Amino acid sequence: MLPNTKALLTLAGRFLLIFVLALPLWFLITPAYNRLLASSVNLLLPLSEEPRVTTLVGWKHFVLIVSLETPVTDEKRLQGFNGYLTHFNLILMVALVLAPPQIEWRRRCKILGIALAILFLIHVLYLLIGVKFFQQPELEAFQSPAGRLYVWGTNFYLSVASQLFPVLLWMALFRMVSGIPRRQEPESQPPGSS
Amino acid sequence: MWRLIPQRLPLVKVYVIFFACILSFYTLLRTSIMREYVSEPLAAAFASVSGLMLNLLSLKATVSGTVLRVEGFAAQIDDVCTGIFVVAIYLSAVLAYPSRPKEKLKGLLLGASAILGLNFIRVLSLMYIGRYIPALFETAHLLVWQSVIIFSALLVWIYWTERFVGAPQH
Repeated sequence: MLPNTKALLTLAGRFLLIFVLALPLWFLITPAYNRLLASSVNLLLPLSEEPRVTTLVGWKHFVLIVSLETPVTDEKRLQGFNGYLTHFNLILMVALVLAPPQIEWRRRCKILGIALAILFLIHVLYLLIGVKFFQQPELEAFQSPAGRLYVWGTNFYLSVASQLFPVLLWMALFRMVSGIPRRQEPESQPPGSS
Repeated sequence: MWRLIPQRLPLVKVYVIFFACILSFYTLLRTSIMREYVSEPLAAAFASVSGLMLNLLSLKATVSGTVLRVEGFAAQIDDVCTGIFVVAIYLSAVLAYPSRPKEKLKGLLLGASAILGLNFIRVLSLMYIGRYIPALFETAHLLVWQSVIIFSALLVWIYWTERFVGAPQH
């Protein structure tokens, strides 16, 4: 077995262990995080909606979109989606930061704090864009360029970006905060020596 | 600060190629032609092979297009569930990383087979979870397996850079 393979297997084992340990904690935190997300997005919704027609509510493991329009049908008043869709990557981020061995806890905490703050901003931005998508997913509602951008952005986040962000943040933050340890070059030997 | 730019140019180039590849692959995979000729056949193949395996594992399964049914539970395998987007992310990372074409080809074969293979296990396990512990299905589907698959892609990519890439510039 190659030495690097052993290191990778250790990383994988630690990742899975931390993931499993953090999962129950994440379930406890999720309702509060959903409420925090909904409140933050509600603060910013007036920037994208004039007049204001929707409000978000964090309810258990769901984020609900409540229509303020009148008159409304029962189906239109309340729509919701599972909060996992937005922020399942939080637990991935935590496991990625905590898994690598031999890193100072102070640096680890710093990386984790920055990473979670950036992910929170990404979640808020995604919900701000995604609320239009979840609110009216019918294709005919998205004929305008802005509408098509909502659809593209939401689908891109769900299919690719939600999984990619934690990995990119992990690589970038470890490079910036910790630095990448350089491989030790073999010391140059004088000519003729064996 | 300006002096640093030439030093970091190779790194900037890697990032630009990586993001350009991701956007291109994503846009390409979303076209109707790719959906018709790649995504849907791949999803149907996943459903067929998974159905076969589930029957061998004594869980009576039937397949209809991309819909996989076992007793008391059914699931549709769509393009996101095939792992093709994770393969696209992985492929973008392989293409962006400085290496020779032959090494990139090895990386592609290694990564695509590992990701699709793991995704196959994911589909099988999700059908079992859906059949026997349906309350855990959403958690396993959206939370656990998505994270495990992307982490596996990262591991395979690191392994490829360490094991197969011998280009002097990296």
